[in-house]
Amino acid sequence: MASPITSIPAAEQQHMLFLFMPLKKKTPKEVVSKALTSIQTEIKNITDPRAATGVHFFMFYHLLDGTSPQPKLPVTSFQTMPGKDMLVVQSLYDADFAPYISSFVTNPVIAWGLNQIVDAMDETDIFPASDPTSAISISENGGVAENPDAFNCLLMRYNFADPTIPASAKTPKDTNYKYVLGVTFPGLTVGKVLQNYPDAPTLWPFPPADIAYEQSTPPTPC
Amino acid sequence: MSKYLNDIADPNAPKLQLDDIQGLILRGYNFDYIRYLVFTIDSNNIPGAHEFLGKLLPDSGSPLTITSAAPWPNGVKPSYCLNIGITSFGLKMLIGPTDYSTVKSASFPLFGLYDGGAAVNAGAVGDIDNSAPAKWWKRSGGWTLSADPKADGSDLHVQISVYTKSDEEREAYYNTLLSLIPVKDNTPALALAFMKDSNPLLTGHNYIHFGYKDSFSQPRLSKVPWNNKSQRMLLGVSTVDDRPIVPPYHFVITKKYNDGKTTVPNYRAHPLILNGSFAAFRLLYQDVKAFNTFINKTPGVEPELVAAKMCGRWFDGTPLVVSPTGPNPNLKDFDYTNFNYLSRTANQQGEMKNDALGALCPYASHIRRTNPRDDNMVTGNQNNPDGTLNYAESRRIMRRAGAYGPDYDEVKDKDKDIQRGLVGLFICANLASQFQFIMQSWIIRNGFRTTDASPNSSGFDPLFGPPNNTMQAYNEFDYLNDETTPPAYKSIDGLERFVRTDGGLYLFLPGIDALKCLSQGIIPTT
Repeated sequence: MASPITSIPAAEQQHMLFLFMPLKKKTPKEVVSKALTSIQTEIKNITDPRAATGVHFFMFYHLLDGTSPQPKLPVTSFQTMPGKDMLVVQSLYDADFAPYISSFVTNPVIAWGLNQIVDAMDETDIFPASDPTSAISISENGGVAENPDAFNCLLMRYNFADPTIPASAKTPKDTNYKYVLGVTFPGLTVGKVLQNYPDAPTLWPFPPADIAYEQSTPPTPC
Repeated sequence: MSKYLNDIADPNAPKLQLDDIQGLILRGYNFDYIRYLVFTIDSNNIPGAHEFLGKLLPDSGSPLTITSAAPWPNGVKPSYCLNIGITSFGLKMLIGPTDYSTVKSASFPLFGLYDGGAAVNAGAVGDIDNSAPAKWWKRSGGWTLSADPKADGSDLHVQISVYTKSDEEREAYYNTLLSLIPVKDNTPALALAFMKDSNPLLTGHNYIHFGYKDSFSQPRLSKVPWNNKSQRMLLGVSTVDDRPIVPPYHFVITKKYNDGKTTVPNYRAHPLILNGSFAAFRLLYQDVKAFNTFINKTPGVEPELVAAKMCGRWFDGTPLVVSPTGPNPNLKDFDYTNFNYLSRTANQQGEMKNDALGALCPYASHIRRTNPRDDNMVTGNQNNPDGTLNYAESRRIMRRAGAYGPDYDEVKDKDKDIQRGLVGLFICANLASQFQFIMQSWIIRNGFRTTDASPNSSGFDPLFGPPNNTMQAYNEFDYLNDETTPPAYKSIDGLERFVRTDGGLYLFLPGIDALKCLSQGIIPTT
């Protein structure tokens, strides 16, 4: 008989990734979207990576130099560094950071897409190009697959999120986390969803089926 | 001819400079009597430490010198072997902080863990609670300094291992070694801080206290002299070793080269660390009484079976995948390591069944999670970019460890706190992606394989056991019981920590040229 979950090992926790990555000024928006599109196109030919990568959701947002996020908010939100574009990436993933990133860079299709983004980065006046973890150094030395440790360091340099803060349904007592990360089903990994939800592989096949999304309704204008 | 023999394999890899590489990196010595020593360098006499290292160089003419990987004359084993490792704290003293910083910054990412040392990084490998660094060294016996050990390990600088054929020879060589240490103002340049002997157990050669035979399945390296057809013919093992090769750069730090597909290795190396390696020195107490209690606690289940499911081998080393119902005394040589989990190897013994479900050898078992072989569903063992199997190539470690302490005796040991366990070095080029990865992602974590239908996603490595009982998933050992129809998971509660860490160091194992530099307090520029 089942009983409430009262402990969750690190490998079954969800964690957040929240990157603010500097891109070269006027990086064509297509660079990021093309990288993502190519990944999603090419990924059809590989084994289902969902359980191994453990991604619950992701968001990519490319902000051009000097612009504000649209629609404009009455406060400062994401902002670019002068002379650079910015790529905002957010995701929720299972388990520890390093194996999560490793599961991407060892996949040649995904690694190709990640290399496009690393190539588009501009760390001038932010981080020395000579450092082996700089974007330019990774690009010039074979890309993310050949520099997995350096790529981890690169991402962590721009990661607002703390990869040790678990997503929780109820904030644990006596913690001093810098943010509250909530989730409805802590411990329910992507792998467990695929394994235990009835007919999951049929309902959500890989590669994904085309889905018609009905128009959602915005709130009434104020 | 096997495609894994040097005659064919890895043709672009550079030739190994055997006389510049410490011997233990590439080969096991098979000596029964080993003494592990840890020294503190006198900060007021660093030139004395330089002088001592100079005396250990192979061409120094000293009565005791470092053993390289060069072939032994006429293949005759020497009367002793000697090897050395330096902690980051020791290296800073020997070459100074400026040169240390130069070497570190030119060797990304290899100094990532080494720089802080084993104590600072202990939590990542599960050394918490009763295994925390604050409790290391003294409780094991063998601590010889009057001052207590420092919790960050900064008082430990040099580790030396002496390998001999007998207890008497060990004592003699040890005394010779100490006589080489310069003394100034009645103070030795290096003070002995810790000493631990490894002796063979009565159970047999290469056995550990839990009762298992150990030392199977060391990585098979290309380019070592004994991995060619003629040498294997001489050893009588030329046709049965199907294991894929591992390029030596995972153990011997090497300049970048193109292996025909890509540029390898994926680390940078300052000239000082070329032909060297890194290692985790580990002092691991083993709680045999608790282990025996656990394997005997389930009525109707033979303790040998529980132990085999926990390890992945029967006590004599027979792999469960090869012989799931009991030990197979007919196995020999590489039969013990010539197996896969999903698809049989060319010369695999026994009736091969695809063990994708872990019905023969549980995912949770120690040997499956520390070397998943062809199981590409394990995190960190995904296929190579070209689609070929990875065989955990970049995750392997070379184990040079043996038992310490007396054999366990249930009657005589009752109510006594006897120290016994495993001590030695776990060698690899990249401590983070090899040693720490195995510990962090495969041994002390569940969920390392997707998918995994076991109730606790394979929990904690059962031979180690969890540090505490806070994680329910770690408190039990589950294995698929194929005697039931349909097969159902058998769960044994009460898994506890059987292996406690009592000491740890991260070491740099310098090449011989590098040792010469260290003996002069300099670093090479090219």
